[in-house]
Amino acid sequence: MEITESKGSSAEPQVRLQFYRDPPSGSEQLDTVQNLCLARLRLLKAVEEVGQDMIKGSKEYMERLKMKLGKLDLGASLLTTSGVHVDGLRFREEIRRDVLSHFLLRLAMCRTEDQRRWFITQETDLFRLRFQLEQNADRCLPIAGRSDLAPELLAATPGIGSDAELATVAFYRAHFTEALDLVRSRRVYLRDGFAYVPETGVVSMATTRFRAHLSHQLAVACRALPYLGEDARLWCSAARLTSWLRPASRPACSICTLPCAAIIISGTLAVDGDKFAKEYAYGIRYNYGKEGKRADFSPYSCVRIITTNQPGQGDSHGCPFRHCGADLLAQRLQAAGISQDQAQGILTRAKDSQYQLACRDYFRAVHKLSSDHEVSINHPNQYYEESRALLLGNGQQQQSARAPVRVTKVKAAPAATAAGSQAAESDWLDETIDQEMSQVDLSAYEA
Amino acid sequence: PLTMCAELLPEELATYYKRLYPTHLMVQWLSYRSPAYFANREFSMTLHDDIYLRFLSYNYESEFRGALLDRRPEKIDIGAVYSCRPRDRATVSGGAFQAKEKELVIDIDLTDYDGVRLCCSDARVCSKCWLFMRIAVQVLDRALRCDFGFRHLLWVYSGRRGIHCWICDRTARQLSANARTAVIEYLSLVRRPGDKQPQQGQQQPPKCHPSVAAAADAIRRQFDDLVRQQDLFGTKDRTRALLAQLPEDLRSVADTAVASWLADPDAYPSLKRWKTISKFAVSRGRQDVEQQLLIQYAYPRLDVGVSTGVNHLLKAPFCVHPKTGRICVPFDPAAVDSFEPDSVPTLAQLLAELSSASAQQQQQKPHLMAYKSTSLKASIELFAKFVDSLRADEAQAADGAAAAGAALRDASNGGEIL
Repeated sequence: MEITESKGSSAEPQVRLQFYRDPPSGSEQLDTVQNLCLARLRLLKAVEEVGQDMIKGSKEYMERLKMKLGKLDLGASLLTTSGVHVDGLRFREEIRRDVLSHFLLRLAMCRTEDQRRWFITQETDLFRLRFQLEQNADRCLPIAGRSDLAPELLAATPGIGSDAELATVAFYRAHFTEALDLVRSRRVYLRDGFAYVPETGVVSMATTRFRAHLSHQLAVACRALPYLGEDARLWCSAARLTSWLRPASRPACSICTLPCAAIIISGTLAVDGDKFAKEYAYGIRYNYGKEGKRADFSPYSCVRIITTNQPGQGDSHGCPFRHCGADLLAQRLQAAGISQDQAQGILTRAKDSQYQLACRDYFRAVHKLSSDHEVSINHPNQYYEESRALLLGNGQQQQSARAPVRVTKVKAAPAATAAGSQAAESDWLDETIDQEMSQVDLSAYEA
Repeated sequence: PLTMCAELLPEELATYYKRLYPTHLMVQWLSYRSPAYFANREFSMTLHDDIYLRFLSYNYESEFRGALLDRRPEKIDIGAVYSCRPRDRATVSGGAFQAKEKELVIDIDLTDYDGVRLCCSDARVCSKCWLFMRIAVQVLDRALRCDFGFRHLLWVYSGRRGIHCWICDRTARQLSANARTAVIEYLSLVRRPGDKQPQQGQQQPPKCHPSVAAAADAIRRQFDDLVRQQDLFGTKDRTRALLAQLPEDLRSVADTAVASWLADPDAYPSLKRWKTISKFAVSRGRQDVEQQLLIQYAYPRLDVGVSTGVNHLLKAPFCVHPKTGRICVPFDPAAVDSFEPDSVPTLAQLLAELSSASAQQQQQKPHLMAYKSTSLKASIELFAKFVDSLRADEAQAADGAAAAGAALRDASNGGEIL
C-alpha cells in the first residue's frame, strides 16, 4: 500500500490502533485479569447491540456507538485518537489494557466456532470504528498523477461524479486480495491484480486485513488448546440476551427460550453473580413456575409474537422478520453468512408479510438444506428443536422435534418465602406483566 | 472389439491409461515443482458400477500410474492440497487435517443458458449453441488476465456441454474461500435460471464499470451471429421478452416498432429487430441499456458453488466423458472460435487410431509416444506447453519467495518425500 504523508500535529502522534499481532507478556493480578475481561466483554456486547439496531457504518451508528462506548470502562481510552495527547505513563497503561483484554478474550472465545465468529465480528466492527475516527481526525494529502487511468477510475468508483471530483480524491493501489469487499461488489477498478482504492475504501481494506488476521490467530489458538466438543448451535432472536433487557422483553425471552435456563446463565453473560441473583434469577424462576403464583406459562407461538407486543426502541424481543426494517434484516442476514440470492429471497418474503415463510427459508439457508426440505416453523422453540435435531443427527430428530410443550394449570401456591419476597422491590412483580401473563394463549403448539 | 456405445469398458480405459493418458504431465502440473505438494493432493475416483473413492493420494508418479491402471477409473476428480497426505488423515487430530491450497476453478454449463439457448435444451448440444461458450471464454479469459492479473489458465472442455477453467497461479491457489467468493461475485453479472433477477436499471444511466463495458464489447463482436443463429427475437414471446427489459422511457416508442414487426414478421428477421432496438437505445443516450441487454443474453452464467470451496473436487482434464466418450481436452482460449466440440476425439476413435498405427511406431516406447499417432497429439502438446510455462514461473517464484512456499509445504506432516 502506498501511503501519503499526513499533516500531523507538532507532537509525535500516540498511535493507539492495534492489529494485536504480538501477545503481551508479564504478570497481572487475578483481579485485574477478571476485570479486564469483563470490561472488554461489555464493550463488545455494546458493539453487538448497536450493530443489531442500526445500519453499520451509518452516521447514527457511529454516533450511538461512540456514545455507548464512551460511557464504559475501557471504552473511552479505546476511542481516543492518536492526535489527542496524554502523558506517557497513562498512554502506556491504556495500551496495555487494550492489548491485554483483547488477548485474554481471544483465549476465552476461541473454543467454539460460534464464539469465534462473534468475537471476530465485534472486534472487527470496533476496529472499523476506531480506524474511521483516526481517518476523520487526520486528513491525508491526495496523490497526483494518475491521469492515464482517470476515465477508468471515474467509471469504476462509486460516489465520484466528475473529473473535478476525481482530482480531489486520493487513491491507493493494493493487491486485490486486500480489498475483497470492494472487489466482490465491483466498486473498485482492477488492473493486473491490483485494486485502485479511493481513500474512503481504505478503511475497508484495513478492516479486511484485521479480520483475516484475527480469524487466523483464533484458529491457531483453538488448535493449541485441548480439543473440546462443539456446542449445539442455539438460535433464537431473544436468546442472545444482554443482561439489560427492558421489562416487556423479558417474558417473551426467558419463556420462549430453552428448557435449560442454565445455558443462558452460564453462556456468554459475565455478570456480577449477586446482581444476577437479585434482579433476574427470581424472574426466571417465576416464569418457569417455581415462584409466585406458580402458573405454567406457555411460550409465545410465532403468530402471537408477530401480532402482539411490538418491540420498541431498545427492546430485543419480537420476530426479526416482522420487526426489523429491511435494511437491518439485510445486515443481519449477511452477518449470518447467507448468500446474496438466498438473502434476497428471504427479504422479499418478509416484505410480503410472509414472516413464517421467511423464517423457514432462513432456517434452510443457515442449515444448508435444499429448498424442498420440509420444515414449518410455528414456534421459536420449534426452531430450536429442529435445529438441534439436525445438528445432533437424525437419530434424535424424531424424539426432540415431537416432544410437545405441555401446559398444565397448576393451583396457585401461597406467596413465596423470604428469599422471593425480598425481590418484591424489583420490577419483576410489575402488575402490567401479570396482566399480560394472564392473557397468554394456553394452547401449546401441537407436535 | 471396440464399441461406440455409452458404456465405458474397463479394458478400453486400461489401454487409454496405459498408452495415451498424459500421466507424467499431470503429475508435473500438480506438483508445481514440489513432490510434497503432489503427495498432499486429494484425488477421487469413480470406478465401474458407480463405486466412488475419496481422499486418495499418491506419493510418486509411479503410484499414481499404478492406481490408474489398476482401478481404471471412469472419472478422476482433483481436490485440494491438504495439510498432510489425505490417505493419512486419520493419523492426525480433527482440526489438523485442512485443505490448504487449490487452483481457482470456474465451471460453465450450457444448461444454465436454457433461458436464452433456443436451439437445444438439457443435454443436447449443437454447433450453434456452442457460440455461447465461445463468448464465455473470451469474456472470462480477458477479465481473469487483465483485471486479476492471472496468467496460467487451463481451459478444458468438459466432454459434453460445458467448460472448466483451472486458474493455476500461485496467488490463485492460495486464495481463501472468502477471496474466491469475491472473485466470482465480481465476475457474476447474470443470474442463472431459477435465481432471482434484480430489477432492470431505471432512469439515470448508472456508471458502467470498465470490466462490464469490456465484457459488453466482447459480446457485441459476436452478438449478431448469435441473434441470427438462435433466432433470438423471432417469435412474439421472445420479442416481448426483449421489450420487457427496456426501461420506461424507451418502451413506449418501441411498442410502435413492434407493431410493424408483428404485422409482417418475415420482413423483420431477428437481426433486424435487434439492430432497431439497440440503435434506438444508443441514439437516446442509453448505451447502458444496450450493454445490459448484451449481458443479459450472452454473459457467462457461473456456477458459484464450484468456485468457492477450497476443498471442492472437480473433474480432471483428459477424463473420458461416460455419456459421449469424448476426452475432456484442454483448448487454447485464443483459438476458441475454431474449437468444435464435434471434432473432439472420442475414446473409441483414439483406440482405433492406435491399433491402425504402424508397427514401427508401436515399437518405440509405446506408452510415452503413442499419442503422437492419434488425434490426441495436439491437445497433449498444448497441455505440455502450459505445464512448461507454469513450471518456469514457479521456479522463478520459488527463488524469490522461498520462505513463504517452504513454510507451507513443511507444514504438512508428510514433509519432504524422497
